[in-house]
Amino acid sequence: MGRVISIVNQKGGVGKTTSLVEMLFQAGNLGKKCLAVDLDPQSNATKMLTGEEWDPSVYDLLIGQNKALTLRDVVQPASQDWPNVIVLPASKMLGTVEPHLLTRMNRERVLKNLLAPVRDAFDLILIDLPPTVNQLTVNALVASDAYIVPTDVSEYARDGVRTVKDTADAIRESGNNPDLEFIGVFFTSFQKGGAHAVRQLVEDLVDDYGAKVLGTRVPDSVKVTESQKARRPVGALDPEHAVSRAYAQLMEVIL
Amino acid sequence: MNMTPKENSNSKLLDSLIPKSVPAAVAPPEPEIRTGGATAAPEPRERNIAAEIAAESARKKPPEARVTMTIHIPQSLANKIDSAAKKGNLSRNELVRLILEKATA
Repeated sequence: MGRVISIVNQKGGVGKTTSLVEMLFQAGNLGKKCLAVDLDPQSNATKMLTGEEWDPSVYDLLIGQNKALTLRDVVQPASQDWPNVIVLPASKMLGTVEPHLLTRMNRERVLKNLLAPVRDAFDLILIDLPPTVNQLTVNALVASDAYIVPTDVSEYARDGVRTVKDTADAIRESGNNPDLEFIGVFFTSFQKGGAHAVRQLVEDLVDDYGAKVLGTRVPDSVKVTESQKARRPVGALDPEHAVSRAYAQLMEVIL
Repeated sequence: MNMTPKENSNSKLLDSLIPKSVPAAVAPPEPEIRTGGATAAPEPRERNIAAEIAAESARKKPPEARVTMTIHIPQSLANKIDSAAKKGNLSRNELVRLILEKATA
């Protein structure tokens, strides 16, 4: 059965989407069959992976109003740069999904039920989330086997990670997903040999989470911006780049 | 906004992984509608985890107090710690903490 992993952080701009597309590139190139689930209304992962926006999207499946619509009607193949990757695309309409989910029975399990028929078909299912804690976050964490938290090294990083951890702990304790695993925290936009304040923040997180602070430090690089503009993974633009190597190392931990 | 799937090697993969016949979802059970019955017990309210998280986040835990400790160790041991930290791309403090975590786990 495919492993489902949410990439989550309540804080914005920490590299969740970049991490998703680079992790998919690495896993796909290792021959792993992957499904990307984009739950962020900004749809950046969808645009990056498929080159455009789509209608219908995962929103239509989550609200469940069109009973004839199937998952197969919505999923899309990723661009050639991401071999072995299929995408369940997002749309801006996801920004309005909250009230629809609140009125559904088993509202925390809508995504889990949605993915259940196809879990066996994939080796890895990665979920990208918006920078907030809402019903989409809860649905993703209930549907996941594990979650991983990318974080930048900023003043508010500690709060962001703590909120995610609290959310996951609450989901475990609620009985909705008692086996939810915390893979760990890793750093993005990392400036090597940074100032004392940066080292202090890293140490604070190590204080909080010990060995769950992973060794992966994705360096701060303009290559990520270039990759977004080209809508190609850094791994395809420059496989030997430090960003690519960092994500390759991260996937060794995960797979 | 596109509505037409693109053709590439991933399209073939998609066809092989998710045949067109796979259902969208296993529908969750619909609520039972009860009418009448003066003794019928009220349905338990579903937990709204997202709301609970929001409330919990509002009660922020204060960060743990930090202290500075000076420990005297031989220079050779300090060199070993620095060398191992450099290999692992960690700071001296991070490495010592990780060692302590393992030792006390």
